[in-house]
Amino acid sequence: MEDPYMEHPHLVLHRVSYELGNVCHTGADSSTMSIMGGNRAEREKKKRERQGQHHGTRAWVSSGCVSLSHPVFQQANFFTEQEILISPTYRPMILSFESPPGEIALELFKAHNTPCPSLSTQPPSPFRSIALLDAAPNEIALEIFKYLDPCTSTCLGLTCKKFYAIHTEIHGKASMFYRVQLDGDKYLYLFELLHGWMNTGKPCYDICMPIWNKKIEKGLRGNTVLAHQCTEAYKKILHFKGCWFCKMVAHGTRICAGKPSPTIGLYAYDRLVCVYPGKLCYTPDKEHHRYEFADVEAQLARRGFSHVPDIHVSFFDAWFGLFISCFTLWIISLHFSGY
Amino acid sequence: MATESNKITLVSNDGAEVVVDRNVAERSMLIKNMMEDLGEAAMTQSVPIPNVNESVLKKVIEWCEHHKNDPPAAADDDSDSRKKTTDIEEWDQKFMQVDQEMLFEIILASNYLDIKPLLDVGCKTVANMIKGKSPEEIRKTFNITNDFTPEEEEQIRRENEWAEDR
Repeated sequence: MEDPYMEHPHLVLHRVSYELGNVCHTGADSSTMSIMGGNRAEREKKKRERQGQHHGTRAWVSSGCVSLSHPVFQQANFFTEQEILISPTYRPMILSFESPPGEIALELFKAHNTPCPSLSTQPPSPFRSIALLDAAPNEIALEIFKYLDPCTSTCLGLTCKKFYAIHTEIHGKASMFYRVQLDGDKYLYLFELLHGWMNTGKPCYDICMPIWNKKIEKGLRGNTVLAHQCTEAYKKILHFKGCWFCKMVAHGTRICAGKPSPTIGLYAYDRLVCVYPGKLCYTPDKEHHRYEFADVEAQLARRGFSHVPDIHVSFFDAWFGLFISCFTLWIISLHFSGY
Repeated sequence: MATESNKITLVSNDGAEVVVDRNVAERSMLIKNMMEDLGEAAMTQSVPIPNVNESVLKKVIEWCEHHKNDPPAAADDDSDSRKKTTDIEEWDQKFMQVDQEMLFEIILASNYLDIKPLLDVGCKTVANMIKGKSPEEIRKTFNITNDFTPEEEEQIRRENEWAEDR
């Protein structure tokens, strides 16, 4: 028996109804159309398509139409059988509007009463279970994206091309400073979520923590540090190329140049790198310090600081202190030795 | 087939008949519109739901039963206000504590049956599952295949001036 799809390719109608959320996608020929009931809306759709307006519709559903001509869908080549995961046993419905009305009605009846391939009348198979989210219809994916903050949307967008197209359409370029609020008052920055994806090693928030703690206590005496100091320090750490934490520093110094930054958390990160550029190192055992750094803003607020404290200890102060200490020890030792 | 004047029979794609109150079934805009279009004639016939199997249909009806007295959604319900929060009612949270396959079946069924509030709850549940996860963790959670080539990923890294805009 001849394959009607080969013989009449222009009549092929890929009715991928359920996997596309009942979005019926017409084939190459505008004379073909989706039919899920032959109602007035569908007839109007046919008319529009004949006029050259290709609009996807959600059959049966009166609202929430998603245009298939949307750049998002075009960009990602959404409507391919591979992505949609059509069951191997499923055959697309062939319909032509040149067919007699009776035939159409019969096909409609069959289509209406034929279980859609994606539904769980069959036991779960590996084929089905491999992709629930990325095989979801595009309008479902769009719905889900509407509930995602930019940070989470970026992470989902980076999982596959389909979601990346949707993400960029909604949010455009991402910023590493996007953050997602977790339970309680904890949050995650995008740069933390993406450290694996960026493939540049761990972020450098885990700078030698014990030393930093002491220094920041000294710094909490009330002085503020100006951004140009960070800029100078940033120049010293350029050799950490590929570490996007350094980019953060550059960014941070630019946005708060010459004034105490109101973004204490961000600025505190800057200062850490400024003061201890040589200690930008990652050790797995310091992983647990991550939250302490992420929570820097809250820590400072608890100490009653509404501005960025200075944690810079001058070179002169340090050496002068050491000299005085040594001199005192020398005097004491002379005293006890009898001189 | 309808058993009483205010009840309708829904038939799932695996042939199971589920009798529900009309006001419960009409949480689905699909069924509601169908009833309005067909009038009383529809009450005497069973309504096929070809895209939903029995277990999912029952689950959806369970949700509709619980929310049957909720006010109908506003016509312009796609506004941003509906989208801003991912908070879910406690009952709905428990209702959505199902395996991932069932969760997506419910979402698909609510989309097919045009039950927007249920669709919202499902999408919010998925959104909450994604929240705070890295791309790799999301892939593992949802079995998403990474179809980016290394070159494409590198291109994305270059295209997005990650630290430049805020």
